[in-house]
Amino acid sequence: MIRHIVQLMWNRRKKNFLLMTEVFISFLVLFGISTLIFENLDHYRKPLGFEYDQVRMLSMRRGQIEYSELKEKFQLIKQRLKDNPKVLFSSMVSSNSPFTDNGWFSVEEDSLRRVEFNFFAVEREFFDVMQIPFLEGETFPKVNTNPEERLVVVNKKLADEIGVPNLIGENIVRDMKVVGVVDKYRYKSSFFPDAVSLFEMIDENDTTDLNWFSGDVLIRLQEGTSKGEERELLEELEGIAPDWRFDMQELADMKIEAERKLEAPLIIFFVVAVFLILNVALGLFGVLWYNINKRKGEIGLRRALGAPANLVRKQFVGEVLVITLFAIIVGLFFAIQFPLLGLFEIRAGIYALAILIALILIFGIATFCALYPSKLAADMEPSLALHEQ
Amino acid sequence: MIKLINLNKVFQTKTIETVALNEINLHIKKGEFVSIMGPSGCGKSTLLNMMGLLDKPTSGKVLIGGTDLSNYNDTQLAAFRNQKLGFIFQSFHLINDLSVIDNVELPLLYRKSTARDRRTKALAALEKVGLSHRTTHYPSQLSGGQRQRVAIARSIICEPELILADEPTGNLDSVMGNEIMNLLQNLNKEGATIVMVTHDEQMAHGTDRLIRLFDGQTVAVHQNSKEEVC
Repeated sequence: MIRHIVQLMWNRRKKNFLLMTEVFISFLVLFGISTLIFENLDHYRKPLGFEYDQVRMLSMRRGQIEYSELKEKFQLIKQRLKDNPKVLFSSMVSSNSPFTDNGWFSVEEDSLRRVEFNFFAVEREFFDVMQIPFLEGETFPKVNTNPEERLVVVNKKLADEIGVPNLIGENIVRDMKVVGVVDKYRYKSSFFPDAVSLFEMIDENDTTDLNWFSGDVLIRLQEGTSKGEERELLEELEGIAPDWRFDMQELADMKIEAERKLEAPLIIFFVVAVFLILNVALGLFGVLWYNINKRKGEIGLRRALGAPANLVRKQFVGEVLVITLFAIIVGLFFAIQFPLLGLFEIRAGIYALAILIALILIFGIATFCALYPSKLAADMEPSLALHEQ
Repeated sequence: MIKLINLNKVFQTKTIETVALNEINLHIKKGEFVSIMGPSGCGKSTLLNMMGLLDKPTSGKVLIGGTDLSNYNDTQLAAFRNQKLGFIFQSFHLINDLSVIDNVELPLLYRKSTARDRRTKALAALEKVGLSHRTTHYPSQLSGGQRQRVAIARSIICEPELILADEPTGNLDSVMGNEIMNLLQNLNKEGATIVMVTHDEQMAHGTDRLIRLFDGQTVAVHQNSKEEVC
């Protein structure tokens, strides 16, 4: 019987082209959604590479200012932070600190290599603030004794891309000397993968450029620090520079906010996808109903020739599954290209799981849509069905 | 072979009650070739559907080969149809997307048989109706007479004891019609019991017995001196 159904559906492939196209498209949509969901879940359950719970971002906004005044005030602020028993570590950072939605993509090249990376300007305590462990080397020294060198820390992903073993002490490009290698730094949110990252030491003594001063400082507070103590700290700092605007945010809140921004497009995409799948299901249902109504004579004939009602039902469900199979074979050809070509830097395992889920869902939808029309076919009185040829 | 005892069939809608068969009593012997005639709507096809177990009577009994089938469920009736009955229809009822040989094999799909067995039997049935050279053709590539011969091959592939033909020559010209009638007569000579509904007097006279129906009742039975249709 299976061979008969396959043969019949193969012979009817032109008539069922529309149906197969619908199944093909819905399979690819389901594959896409599943991939997106599993990829995001995979990111979500992996560590960010840093600890953000006790970290605050202090933002300082100021007007036009001379370098000497800036340095003086900032050193006072830093000293005050250092003196505060609730502040464990602090670091000035460039404006692209975690969960801010800011990026700084940079390219450096010399005669040896070209390196592309996410750039972060940080101080030596940054890795303590964020509790980022070192795989190799260590954080920057207190003072850069060789002004000809720019001291940098890279993440493992960038180190792997550079491909030089024992990077510590090596100049990766021009005057950039690596002092340490850290593992991950997924600073955008839990839903983003790790990106190639390079941390350069902020040199406060560099008077030629004030760009390093973004006005952002990351602070690690002692566990149990109260809101009141945080407010006191902020008021202290405001006393140093009354004409500046100070603001302190919890990184945990910033993370929630950053992820909420991602939720909206994800929810919209999900709703559109569900609507599309519903449309496909209704389409399948309609086409099947129409097909069955057009084949009443055949149903009557099969019943006359000895097919019991339950076999007629099974045959129509079987036909839908065979049509689905034909469409999915084509769909699989396209879906398999993604892991084979390594597209979008998604692991092959994620693609495999997405294919499996898409297969289960599409066969489930097809079977569900086939059940009622098939029941109608099976319930037909053979004498009436024959009469309607 | 077939016994119809006090057979009644009433079609009922919310507003109308239509008596299709009224107290039909009929006995068709094994090996007989019986034709049923009557005006349109007199209940010929309904009677044939009752004999073919495609419809259930409102009251009365249908006995085939001495078996009372009143209490058979859907699966048992389907198996009985498959093993004992063959059907030929006016509009052939061939599946256009299947080749001639696949159409002929169809009844064997509903019983235990191997692909090789099905192919051998289908070829033999097609040989019998003179279409062994058209096995890979599709119904749309055949003439009306050839299509009906395919339908006959399909009806005899399971070697049924009873063949029920509902106006088998109704859609054919006289030459083709005669060809089909000759085929049916040959099958009858080989031992098959045949019940044929027809509008054609000449075809009906080529059978052993002619039963005339009017308003769901048997009004006349003629014993024919069977003549070959040329």
